[in-house]
Amino acid sequence: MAEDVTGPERPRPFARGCDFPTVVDGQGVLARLLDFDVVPNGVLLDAEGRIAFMHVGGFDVRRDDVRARLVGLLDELAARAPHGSTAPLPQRELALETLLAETAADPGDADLWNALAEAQAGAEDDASALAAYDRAIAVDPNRWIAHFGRGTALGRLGRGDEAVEAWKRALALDPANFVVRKQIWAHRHPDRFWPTIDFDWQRDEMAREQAGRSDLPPRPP
Amino acid sequence: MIERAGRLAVGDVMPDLELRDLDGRALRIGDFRGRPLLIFMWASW
Repeated sequence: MAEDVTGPERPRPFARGCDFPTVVDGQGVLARLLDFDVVPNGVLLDAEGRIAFMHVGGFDVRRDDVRARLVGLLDELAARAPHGSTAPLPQRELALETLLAETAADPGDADLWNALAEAQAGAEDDASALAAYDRAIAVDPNRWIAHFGRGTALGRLGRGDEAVEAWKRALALDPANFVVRKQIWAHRHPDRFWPTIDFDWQRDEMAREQAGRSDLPPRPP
Repeated sequence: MIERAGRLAVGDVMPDLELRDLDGRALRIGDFRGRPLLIFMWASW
């Protein structure tokens, strides 16, 4: 699962030759559900969709200890008796129509506006999503996720400079969030990310920010 | 490794999210029910 807000083109070369499906989490839905601000991460679900294992940051299945843990868990899962019935998965995504009605009925609920914006962005209606993010922010200006989503929608609408400003607001509210920080880096310095990632540059940039020599806030310890 | 992250934790059911693959085809997490599923989250950046 590629956590790329820019869509499928950037991750495509990295997924070439993989024998498993690759999807793009262009809205950062998993990042919000699991509240992670770094990658790479690994999550193992059992046959019923329950989380059996979660490793946030530095997940590398090539590592012997990680692989051994996963193999052990898979053995445990396989040993469990199959269940005759399974609990229905929760319906987290309300229908767009429902969200439109809910926001009209309760325009002071920032959660609803944010959910509507995400649903609209998921439907690739970024102009509508932008308007809904604006409503969410009007209700709750300190909602980093709405600023982040707003930046993503602006970026997709070709308004890159405004996207960076929105991401900067998100980062000011959540300076530990590496996902947000890297969107700004990638937008400002695409040559440091594609076709290959320049990790030396990233280390230098982080040091510059930590030293207060950047317009981005330092990352908290 | 952590046992709880954000809204979801070990033992919680993952929502049946629908995401698009690199060719735009819709895939749901629920499509893989009935067998274990390892989700590897990464980024090109």
